[in-house]
Amino acid sequence: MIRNYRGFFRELSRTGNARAFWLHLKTGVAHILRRAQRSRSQDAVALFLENYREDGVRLPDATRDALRLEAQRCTACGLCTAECARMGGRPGLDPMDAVAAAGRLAIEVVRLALPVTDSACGACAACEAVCPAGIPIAKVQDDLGSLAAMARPAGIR
Amino acid sequence: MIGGGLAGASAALELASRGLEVTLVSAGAGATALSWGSLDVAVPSPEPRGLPLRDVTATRLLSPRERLAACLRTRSQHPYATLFGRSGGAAESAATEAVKSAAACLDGWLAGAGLRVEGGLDASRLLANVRGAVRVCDFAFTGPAEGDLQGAAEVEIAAIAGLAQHDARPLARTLAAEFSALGLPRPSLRVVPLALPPGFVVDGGSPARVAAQTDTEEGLGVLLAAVAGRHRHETTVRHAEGERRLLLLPPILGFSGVRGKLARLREAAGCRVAECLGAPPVSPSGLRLLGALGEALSRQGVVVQHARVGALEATGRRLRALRLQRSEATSGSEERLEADGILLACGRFLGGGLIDRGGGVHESLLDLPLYDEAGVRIDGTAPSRLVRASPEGPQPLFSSGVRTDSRLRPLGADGEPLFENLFVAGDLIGGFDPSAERTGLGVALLTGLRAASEIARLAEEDGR
Repeated sequence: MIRNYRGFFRELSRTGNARAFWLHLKTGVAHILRRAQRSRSQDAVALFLENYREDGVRLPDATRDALRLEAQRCTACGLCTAECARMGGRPGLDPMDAVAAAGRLAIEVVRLALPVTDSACGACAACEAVCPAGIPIAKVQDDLGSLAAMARPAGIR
Repeated sequence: MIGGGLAGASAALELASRGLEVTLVSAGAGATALSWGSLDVAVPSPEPRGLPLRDVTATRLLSPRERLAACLRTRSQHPYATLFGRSGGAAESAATEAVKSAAACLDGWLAGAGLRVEGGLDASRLLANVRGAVRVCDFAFTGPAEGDLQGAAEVEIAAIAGLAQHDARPLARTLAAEFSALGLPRPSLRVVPLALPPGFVVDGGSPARVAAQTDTEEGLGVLLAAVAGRHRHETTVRHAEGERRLLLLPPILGFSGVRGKLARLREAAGCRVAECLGAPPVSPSGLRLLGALGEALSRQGVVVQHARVGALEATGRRLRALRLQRSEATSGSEERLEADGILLACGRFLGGGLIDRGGGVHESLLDLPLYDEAGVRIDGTAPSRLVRASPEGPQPLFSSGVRTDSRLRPLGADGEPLFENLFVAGDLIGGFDPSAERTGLGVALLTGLRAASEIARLAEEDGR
């Protein structure tokens, strides 16, 4: 086994593929260690979510699904962006981009590590007031913010 | 007034100026906020639909007056046929008078906010949009209005590095191609880079944020300096003089006070200065118009309610009141608003007047019967069946709307007005395609004012 790993490390130093190394470590070692650490009495779902939190894996959420459907009404007219600028807002994520992200919300979107939590979005909801499609943009921003915060590994916040 | 676009606002302003008590209910922005900076009243051309832009036999541009007359002659389902009668000299003179007084009215309301309506019916304006396409416009608002390409011997196209959705070089190329397509003498076109300090173009070059920068004195100062110093590195180029030279800026002159900014820019540039036509998020022109209308409404004492209309209450053939639904902040609260006359001006798909419900197109409040440009009834039909693949020729979905009697009251399925005190204005009236004809704002203004006078007439009759 030690010989195998030596070969692996040689390969790694040659290609510099840190991502592959990380996946190896995670599936081969970290996952087993993590499971061993947990007590058996812990709720299986909570355990699963805790383990895969960093990857943005989560249970289906009725509220978020409803929000996603609402965001899909976006016609990309850009009024929210213009109105936000008029109000002097400087959000980390442009309102129109936020709605677009929420509309096709999947794990990948969360992986983008959206800069929403660092935003200066004052939640004035001026964007919402001008939206011809009536999309609750402030809520979308808020929701993406919480998702991004959740998906970001602890310590990098 | 149900609807806060140009139709609802102009009707509200007109009624308020006649001393009536007016409430305007608006659920959000609609097509008015997405307008391009021009106000077109006449359809582009008679024949074939939308093209060509000029009278082929005379090889000259048709004036708005001629195009308006052609529209009255050929389009029996157009709202203008309802407003001014079918054809003949009387209809034409009624139309031109109505357009003139409507433009003057709107100009008067907006002037307080520093936005003017410029243009007339005698000559078309040629304005460039952000892509470089030349549009034949009748009226335009301060900003793009000054950019008439006719009579310009030299057009300088300002290039701002890093500004998103605006590219000066393709714009210049398209503009050149447009001039040869129109058969007009081509001015000399030059791309002029503006040297702006880093920090002026922010947030990935979002044009709306750059526009917000020029709303500050500091940001405007930076732009003025860049415009004044744009020829610093040139030594040999000779320029056309004053009015014959036009500097075409991207639409970044902010959300308010455009008139003052343009005057200062003109001084700094030493020639005419104008913005390109554009819609959000590239251009703030629609929001400027909406903002100026909002200022006028509050000045005239019109109450503006930000709410949705839930239902209308009627006794017999008369509407009594409407129920307002507020957004979540004050959830559950339903408010009753009594009214002697009600105007429906909530637009089409953008404003929420027409919606896709249960797989078919419907009018959202009263489920009024809808007709397309050919007079075919289309409500309940799936939107996909009302769109044709060919880009030329009519698209029934985009010309659908309600039908009215001569007093702008919406008709029911039996061809009779549904209620004696319900009127309709703006895009919700069918029979024309506002996006292809670009006459959305023009029809909104003309029908809004006519509906206002009908409501005033009704109030007078009731009072007697």
